[in-house]
Amino acid sequence: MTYNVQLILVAVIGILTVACTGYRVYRLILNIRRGGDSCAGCRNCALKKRKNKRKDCPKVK
Amino acid sequence: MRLSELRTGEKGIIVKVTGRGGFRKRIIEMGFIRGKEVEVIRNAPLKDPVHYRVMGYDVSLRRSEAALIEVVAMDGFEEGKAAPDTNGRAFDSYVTPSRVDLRAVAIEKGKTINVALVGNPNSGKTTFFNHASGAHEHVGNYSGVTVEAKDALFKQDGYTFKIVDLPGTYSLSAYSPEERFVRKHLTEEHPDVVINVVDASNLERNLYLTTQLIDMDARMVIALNMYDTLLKRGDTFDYKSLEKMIGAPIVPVISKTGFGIKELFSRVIGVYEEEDPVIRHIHINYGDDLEKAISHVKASVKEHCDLSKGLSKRHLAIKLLEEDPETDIFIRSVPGHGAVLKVRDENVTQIATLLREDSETAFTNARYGFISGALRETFAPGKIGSMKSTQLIDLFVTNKVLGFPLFIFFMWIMFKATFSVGAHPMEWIENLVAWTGSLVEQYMQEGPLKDLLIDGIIGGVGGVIVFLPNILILYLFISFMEDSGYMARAAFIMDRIMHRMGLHGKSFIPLVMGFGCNVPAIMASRTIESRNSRLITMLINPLMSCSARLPVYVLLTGAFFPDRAAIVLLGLYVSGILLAVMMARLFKRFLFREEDVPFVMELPPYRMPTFKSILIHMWEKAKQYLRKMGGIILFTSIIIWFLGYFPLPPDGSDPSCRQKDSYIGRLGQTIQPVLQPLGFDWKISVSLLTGMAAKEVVVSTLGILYTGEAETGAEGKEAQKLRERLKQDAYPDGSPVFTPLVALSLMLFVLIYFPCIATVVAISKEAGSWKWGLFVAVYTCMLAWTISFVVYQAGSLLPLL
Ligand SMILES: Nc1nc2c(ncn2[C@@H]2O[C@H](COP(=O)(O)OP(=O)(O)OP(=O)(O)O)[C@@H](O)[C@H]2O)c(=O)[nH]1
Ligand SMILES: [Mg+2]
Repeated sequence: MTYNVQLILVAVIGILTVACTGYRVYRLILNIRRGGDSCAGCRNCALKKRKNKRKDCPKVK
Repeated sequence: MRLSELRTGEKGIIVKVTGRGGFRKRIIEMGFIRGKEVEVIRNAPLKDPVHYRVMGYDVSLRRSEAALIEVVAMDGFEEGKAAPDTNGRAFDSYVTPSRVDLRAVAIEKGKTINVALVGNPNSGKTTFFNHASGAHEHVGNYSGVTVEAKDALFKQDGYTFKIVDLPGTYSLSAYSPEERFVRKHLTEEHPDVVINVVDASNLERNLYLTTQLIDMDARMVIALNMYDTLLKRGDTFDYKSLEKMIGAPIVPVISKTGFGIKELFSRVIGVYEEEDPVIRHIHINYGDDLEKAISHVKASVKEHCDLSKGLSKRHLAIKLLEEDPETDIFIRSVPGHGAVLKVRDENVTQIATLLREDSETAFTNARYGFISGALRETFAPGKIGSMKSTQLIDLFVTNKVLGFPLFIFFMWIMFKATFSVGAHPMEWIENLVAWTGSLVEQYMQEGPLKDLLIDGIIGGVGGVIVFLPNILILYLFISFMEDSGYMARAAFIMDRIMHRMGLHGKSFIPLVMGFGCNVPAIMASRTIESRNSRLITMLINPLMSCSARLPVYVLLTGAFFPDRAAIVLLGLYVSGILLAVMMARLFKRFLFREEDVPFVMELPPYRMPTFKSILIHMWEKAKQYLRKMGGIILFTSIIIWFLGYFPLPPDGSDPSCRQKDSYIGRLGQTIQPVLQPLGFDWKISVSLLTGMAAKEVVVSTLGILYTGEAETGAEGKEAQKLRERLKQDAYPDGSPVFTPLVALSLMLFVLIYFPCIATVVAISKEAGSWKWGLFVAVYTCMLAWTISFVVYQAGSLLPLL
């Protein structure tokens, strides 16, 4: 692999990592915002990409 | 969907009727049967009652009663018929499913049974749950392992079971949070069938909860768990007679092995379908005086309050007479409660004068009376006392003099094994990582991708992954202690000490769980009643050294204290505990002042943990660890590598300065002045900063920052282990960066400072406010700095290390 190809691949990996990390942080914030006493904090919402539909969560009473 | 949610004119097909026995029977007799169609004649919002038509005649139900009937809606069905499309075909035939389909859906839905597991703490509910559903929830031989509802699905005989594992409770009065939680679950979720898990080796106490469930008129199947211990003790128990006596099926079960679980669920189906020959609703006879009081209150409730039929009046009357706080709140929200409360108060005083005890005690005694009466006829204790070995072990383990040294000794063995036994598999993984690195080194062309792979990913992730064996060994010990029942003894031993220091006794279990991971430990503090004690427990929990800190310790002790590793490890853990106790005292003194709540810790009999359960536990932990490697550790490693690689140095610059001039180098040098008094250079400072994401990242960051050194030459630089590289690092003047003293200061700092982000989030959530999370972050950092400062400065003055 030439230097330039490697540079491009590295850039792609970098962007992907930042995107993934950003997404994780975003999910974390969503999860926290959804929190409170009624939320079991099971991270189900974040995992199942329920966005803000907290009332869909079987564990929120 | 609930029947009450259907609007006027809408139709639905009945899926099932939930709620308690008597009411349910009546509703079903009225024609609300699975698969039947029901139409809403009039449902005005906020108006009771609602009119329905079912099987051709009109019925009116209260909204609260209609809410107990589950339906599938047939919305759009009638409109579809009225508006045929251009082809003259009925609109509904392909927009909405046909009536027949819907009925099938309803019947299918009706074959889902909601089951709740209710029982005393440590009666084996979670073991049962895991065996039935194939889940791997946490099991331990002490009370209060499960703190929140967990659910799972599984199928048997064409039925789907939605099974919910609940925290253990001794009763359903509303004293402790878990009691309230379970009660709320039962009254609000209306599980179709309750499985009451009963510990067969402790029948009398376990059946107390059963009597309360009978009062609630819950449809119930009793799982006579730990049947193996009953048999082993030689007890004889005629459960067939008892089940007829109390009107609920009893099935012997050994949830450890799965014995009886299948039969139990077929009984559950029988109860659900009203086919079980045994099930019937009985009234526990509380004796003349109490029964009289019950009937007075019941009559008064019937006369003055207009309550839903779904509510058992007898249960309400009993709860009122027991002066149950939640029932009081409930009845006060109902019109006409004045007269009822008056009757209640009269009867309560009368009970007190007649029986010379308060009414709640009178009911408790009557329940126990019922149980011992029932057991006298059905149960004969065996001759063999199996408690003997437990008592024998406890003679030593909970001994006033021996208990504490033994505890320390066990801990020492644990760390010794973690370090020494773990060293061999660790070396294999180290070699594997090194081999992978050299492979990439040989076969890839020079370039940034190669550097990313070798320095970033292999250096970072590879640096942490080698500690997998140590962590598994630590968990092996923890899970053995939990499953055997020693953990409860440890809590007992520590309770005396902790009490003297002003900490709540119940706090010990969450604190011990903190050795595994702080996040579930903080959730486990839910079992603590008083809010202040609970907050203190959460605030000091991060000082419990979690397993994520272990890689840092093993790395540094391996490099700088190889001969005294176990002692150093033990010392670190003990320092954490001591600091926690100190902070607890401070918090109690200055933040929350409060009386102690008495605490009773049950000491369960010792049980030999099964090989399988321990293996499963370790497998779960290994998976968790590897997932963390592929997740947060990988991401942070890549980001740190980027920050350490860029900006690209101008041509011809000194390669050894490259890292120092990179983004991360500049960042490190900015924060380093703060940490210099603790003996840390900029690389350590950066590692501590990134370690806030997760503590393993401290190691992975060190791994990345210590691969870039040019002096070792291109070939063979991977072959060197991280601990060697750390030892070689030196300041420009030639003095080593890492000395044993620096290592000690660093380990203490890692122990104490900022718990990982997940922990801070958990604290914020459980405490209900961000302020507490922030508070923990700030106080731990300040404490860490102070301790490391004192240790480093004192150690520099008195050169012991
Ligand atoms: N001998 C025997 N031991 C069992 C059986 N079922 C469970 N155990 C043991 O009982 C202990 C308690 O099990 P758990 O499933 O954690 O109990 P739990 O009811 O969920 O406890 P909490 O969550 O604290 O309410 C564990 O040590 C199990 O190994 C059984 O059928 N026979
Ligand atoms: Mg449990």
